[in-house]
Amino acid sequence: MDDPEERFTLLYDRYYRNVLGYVLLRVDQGVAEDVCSETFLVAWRRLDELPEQVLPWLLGVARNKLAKQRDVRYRREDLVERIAKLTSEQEHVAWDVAEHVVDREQAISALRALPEKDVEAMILATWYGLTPGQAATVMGCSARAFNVRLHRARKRLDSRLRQEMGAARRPMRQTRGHFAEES
Amino acid sequence: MTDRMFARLRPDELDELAEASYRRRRREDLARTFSSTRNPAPAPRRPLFLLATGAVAAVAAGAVVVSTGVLSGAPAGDTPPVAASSTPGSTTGGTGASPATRIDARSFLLAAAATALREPAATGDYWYVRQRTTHPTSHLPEEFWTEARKLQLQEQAEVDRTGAEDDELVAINEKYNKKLENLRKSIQPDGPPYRAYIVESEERWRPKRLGGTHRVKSSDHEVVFPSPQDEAKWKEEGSPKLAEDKPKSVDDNLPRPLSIPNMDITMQNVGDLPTSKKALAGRLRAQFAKLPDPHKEFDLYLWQTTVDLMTAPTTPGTRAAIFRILADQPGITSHGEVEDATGRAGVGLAVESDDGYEFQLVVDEDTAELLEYSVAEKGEDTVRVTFEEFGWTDKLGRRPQR
Repeated sequence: MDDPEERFTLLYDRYYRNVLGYVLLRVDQGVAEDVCSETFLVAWRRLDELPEQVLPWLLGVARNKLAKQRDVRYRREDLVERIAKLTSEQEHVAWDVAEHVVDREQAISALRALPEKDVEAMILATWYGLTPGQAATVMGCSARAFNVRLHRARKRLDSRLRQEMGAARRPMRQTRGHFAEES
Repeated sequence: MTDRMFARLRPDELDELAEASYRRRRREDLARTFSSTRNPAPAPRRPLFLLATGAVAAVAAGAVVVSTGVLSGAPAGDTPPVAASSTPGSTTGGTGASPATRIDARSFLLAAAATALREPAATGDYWYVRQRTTHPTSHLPEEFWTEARKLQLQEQAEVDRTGAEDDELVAINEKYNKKLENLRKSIQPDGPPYRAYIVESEERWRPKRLGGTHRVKSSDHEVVFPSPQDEAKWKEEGSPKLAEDKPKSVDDNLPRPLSIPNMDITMQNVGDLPTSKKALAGRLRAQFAKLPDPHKEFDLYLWQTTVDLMTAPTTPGTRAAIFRILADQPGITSHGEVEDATGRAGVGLAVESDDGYEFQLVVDEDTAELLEYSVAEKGEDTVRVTFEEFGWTDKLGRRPQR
């Protein structure tokens, strides 16, 4: 395992898709691939100094690459619009087991009302499962600031969803167990 | 709970695109990288993760204070165990059981704990789960979405103009929610014209190894109408498409948590969870205290965690401990013997949330396995998930050998 090329290949095979998925939330695929290649090039140059938790570090490098690009090709798109674009129109049922039933469209509409950094905080916490410390590394802020952001994002999203749900709630007149009868 | 909804918003297409890029770029990227020079002089290492501990403390400090004595780890006496019994008039399932033969929740859960302990511990490379989900669906006409998008853009512009102050944002949200609601009412004044449900199957392979391939395969998207009238009305509306019908299989290697409210539980450590009631209860109580959800309720957290852990590769000891913790919850009631969506018999256990939703579990009396869970509002299902099979397998894409 001391061979640097082998170590790097393992790193690449394990995390390339994760990093690319994250960059894809900002730019189109061709540009995303370039940003991703550059990110891994940085990892290669610093192979001996990589932190133990390498995914947050890689995401942080990719995020900086995106932020520093002056090239018009690299212009970042709105995060929520990218999510909406990547989501197929018909795939409209996202539900929350312990809450209410929510359309994907409704949920995305609720996201639109959040500041972009709040959405990013939710993405790092729930899609990537990063701890506050790790996510703060990616976003280049303090863990405290990240927590405040995440807390606020959840609060807003929750209240927004509750309101949307109130508007969408439909009367259902079936008795318990009708699913069993249908099957 | 918002986190769980958000987790499901992750577009599947991300994985498909990432996989395509990975295949296309790997060879070239590696070749180019290895031909460039590495920086041999190690720079001082930045202490990247020292912040983590303080961060957790900050979350805990900001969280709502949780009353103690809810969980079983608390001294007995505060929570009379007798409360975990059946509620009158809730003998659903059509057995018509008399009160004398009705199964009470606490006795059943304690028996289930003993049963769980008897089941053999197993292992493998992938944890397989096959489930069948039924949930309501609806369709709003294009004219709604056209208007809604306009409203959303207006709202976004207003948010951008005003900045990000909490109070202002909330006020803007409320204003536009009202507008959306009115729009919906103007288009469907009596609510949706018909009811429809989607029934779909999902198979999932979770890798035991960190970085292994995770696969979700969904199929059999079927639209079901509760009555012929609903179907007729749907046809009258032009038979709008209600479900994505093509089967889908997505692979990725994200390090995903097994349980959204318990982010620290993973495929690698789920087998090491405590096997005593006291230790597990202590761990769950601490985790609940850390949850930032302003509307959190302990019963619901426990219900959710039970679903996640009972469908994950927990050890027989941990499963038994979960049942013992549930047995001490005064809020859990029994529905007696019920049938799941596939007709299997089990015992229905329920807990109710503050806003009137009922969360049910159906547990197999012979094996103590979780057969099904469902969420109902005023006795009417909003979602029902039936676990048809779970277990270890050694190969991705293959079902467990029983």
